[in-house]
This record gives sequence, C-alpha cells and structure tokens, in this order.
Amino acid sequence: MVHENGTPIYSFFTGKGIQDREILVSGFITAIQAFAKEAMISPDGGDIQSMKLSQTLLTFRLIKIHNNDGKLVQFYFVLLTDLGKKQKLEMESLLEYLCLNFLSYNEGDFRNKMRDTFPQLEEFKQFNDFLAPIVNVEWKDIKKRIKPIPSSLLQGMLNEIKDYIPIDTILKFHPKLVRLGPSYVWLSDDLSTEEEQELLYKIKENVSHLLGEDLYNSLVENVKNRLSFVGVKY
Amino acid sequence: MISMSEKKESEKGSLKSQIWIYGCIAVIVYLLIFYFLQPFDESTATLLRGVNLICLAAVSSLIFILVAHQFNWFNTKTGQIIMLITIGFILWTIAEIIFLGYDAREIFLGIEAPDISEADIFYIAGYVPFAIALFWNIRTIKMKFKHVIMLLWIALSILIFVLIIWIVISFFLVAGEITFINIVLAIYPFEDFIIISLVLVLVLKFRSGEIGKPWGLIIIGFILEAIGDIWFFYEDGVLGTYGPYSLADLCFALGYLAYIAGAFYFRWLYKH
Repeated sequence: MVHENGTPIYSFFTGKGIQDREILVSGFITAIQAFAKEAMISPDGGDIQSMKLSQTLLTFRLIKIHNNDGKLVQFYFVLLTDLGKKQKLEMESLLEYLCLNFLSYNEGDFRNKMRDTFPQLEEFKQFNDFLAPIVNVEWKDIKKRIKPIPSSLLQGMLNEIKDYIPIDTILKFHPKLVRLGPSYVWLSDDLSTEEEQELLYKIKENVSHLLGEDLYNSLVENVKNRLSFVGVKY
Repeated sequence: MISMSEKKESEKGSLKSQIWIYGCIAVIVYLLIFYFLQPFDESTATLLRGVNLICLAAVSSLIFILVAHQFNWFNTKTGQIIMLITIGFILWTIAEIIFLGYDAREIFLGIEAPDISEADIFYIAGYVPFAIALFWNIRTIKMKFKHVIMLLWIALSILIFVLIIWIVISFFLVAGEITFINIVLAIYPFEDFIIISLVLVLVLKFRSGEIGKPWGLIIIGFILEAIGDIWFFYEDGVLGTYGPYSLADLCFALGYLAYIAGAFYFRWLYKH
C-alpha cells in the first residue's frame, strides 16, 4: 500500500527479492499513476486499474480518505501477481477482498491509522498475520472459506446485503459509500453517530421491505455473531 | 425537489412499464384466441405454436440476462444464481427450436417427427441449472425456517409429490403398457416437482418481503409447466391425440409469461 506522496505504508512480498524493494515499487507506482492523471485525456484525471509488466500483473485500487487534518489523501493498494492462468477480474476481486480486510483490520484501527498525517510502515505489519496463511491459497478457496471480518455493525451489514441488493442501489443509501471493487461497498469516511443510525435505519427499511423482516433480523444476528467472535463491541 | 432529468427518467420508466404490461396482456389475448378460437389450419398452427414458444423462451432468457446484469453478472452470488437460471431458459429455447425444426421437417418434407428427440435432452437438461440455482439461493439465504413454516413446506411438497405420482401411475394404467417414450414423458412432472418444491422455500422465506412476489410468479410458471407436462403426457403418451391446439402448449406459454413477469418484477423492484 502506497501513500500518495510515494511513501510505502505496507508491503508483503513472497520469495526473495532485492533490498528495499518496497521503496522501488512504491516509487514506480506513484510515478505511473501521476503520469496517468496528467497525460490521459479523461474528465476525472483517470488512474490505472491494472497493467502487465513482463510476467507480472499489477492490479491497482485507489482509496481516498480524509486524514485528521481534514485533507483528502489517496492511497494506492497494489497487488502483484504472476501472469498465467489468473484472470484480471479474479485479481480485482482478490484485491478488493484484501482492501476490505485491511481497512477493517483490528476493529477498523488500520483505517484510523491511515488518517494520521504521516502513517508509518511498522504500524501495519500486523496484517502479515492475516496474509501469511493465505498467500499461497487459490482465490476461489479463500473466498469460500474466509469471510471478511467487519469493523462495525454498519460495515458488516453492507458486506451482507451486497448478496441481496444490487451494488448500485446500495451506493445510493449514502454519499460516503463507495465501491471498493466488483462486489463490495465501503464506508469511505467516518459518520457521526446520528448519520450512522440513519444509515442503519435506511438499510433496515430497505431490506425489511424488500426481503422481509425475518431475513433482516437474521442478517443482523449473523453480523453480531461475527463481531462477537472477534471481540468487537457493537 | 425533483429535477427535470429525474422527472423525464421517471416518465420514461413509467412508459416502459406500461409497454411491458400491455404487451403481456396482448400476448395473453393472442394466446387465448389461438388456442380457443383455433383460427389456423393444422400446418400453420403447428408452425405458429413453435414460433410462439421459441419467442417466449427467448424473451425469458433475455429478461433474466438483464436481471443478472443488475447484479453485476458473476461478481455477486445473486448474479451467479440468476445466470444459472438464464442458462436453463437458453437450454429450453434451444429445445423449442429443435422441436419446431422437426415439426417443420414433417410439414414440408413429410418426414415424421420422432416421439423423443434431442429437444427432450435440452428440455430435461434445462432443469439442472434451475435446480442448482434455486438450491444455491436457498443455501445463500442466512435464515432458518420457523418450525410451522417448515412443516407447511413439507406438507405442501408431499401433497404435490403424491398428486404427481398418482396422476402418472393412473396414466400408465390407462395406457396399459410402460414404454420408453412414456418413461421419458413421466420425467418432466417430477422435475417440475423438484423445482416447485425449491421455489416454494424461497416464497415462504421471503413471504413478508416484496421479493416474495416475483418468486410467487415464478412458482406459478412452474406449476403451469407441470400441468402442461402432465397434460402433454396424457395427450401424447396415452391418447396419442396431441395436436397444435393442445392446451398443454397453452400452459407452457402461460408459464413462460409468468417467468417473464417474475423477472420483470425483479428488475422493477431492484430499480426502485
């Protein structure tokens, strides 16, 4: 993960490589994304979603967060995988899954740390505990066996309802909801307690109306069980 | 305050809905005229029957493809489930085309259509993605049945199963013999039963939500399909009197309309 200023925030490499490779990789990523924004003729500046480099596929995801000074800061999440049988769409889904888990990690603590004016590399090393066991597992097995752990009841409900309501409909619930990738919706910024309650109520109204109150209550129960399992208070 | 563009979109959507509703009504009126007034000679009616069912099956496939698009194709579980249902309708469309092909060959070349053909392979195969999709949908819904509802589902499923068994056995008794053709024809109502039983789970789980209504339309479609299959079995397998104006085909056609209405209702619900 790379800060918009080119500083590597988090990295996880497998196998042997050159020293300080995260600095080299993050420099390269920042440079090509800046090139894309400046050189591409696109109304929103554009950013590169994926690229092939020799035998490596790079998949990118841009996340914007307001830091503690109120400034909108950009972070690039990048997944480097060997080319071969892996499909671009599969890697987009995998990167989305990893982003969601990273942002929700440790009860949303990582997301809060990303808001620091100068987030530090060491603060996120804990995520290795999550990545190390799954780095050699096929994506189809990961998504079957490991569900993203929500950081809050609200994010948990957003993770659940994506299987029942089209993502474009969910995005209309609140302007701070953004698409993380092909499947998931993420709360891009903190909400006040009132806003959060309003959004939860809106989800309850829509899901109960569409799918029935029984199913809504079941979904809430599932999310609460998962939050209890990881010790999150809700 | 509603903007001009939002108002125009809403009017456009309302006009589209009206076109669909009037279109469905027009098709129902056409079918009722076709099957009850029987205005065409046998050859023309045979060809038209085939064209009717091909068009309805193809439209069913298309509408479900649009629903799958709403759920971002294979990127969500619902999208994957809807795509499987679409594959089922595509297989049925191919079956209808083959069935018409054999009828056309009989009319224009005088070569008798076989009693059992490749069309049956596609019809029967079409049930498989339906069943997988519905079973998977049930597994995805993280909600257990209440005991009363579970008992209701079991009771209804047993009732439907016993009814189908009783009817099929009766037909075999009337026919007086068990032939390969009759065995193949008897498979259809049992496949319909499996699908009806699975859709019933969804209707009961979603009974308090709006989404229960399109599933209700789909279950009506499969009930009509089952009635059509049983009627076809009786007319073709037992009496040998199946013709272009058979009410079995009317049931199949109305069944397709029910699927189309259900899919259209899904799209409308998720858009609004």
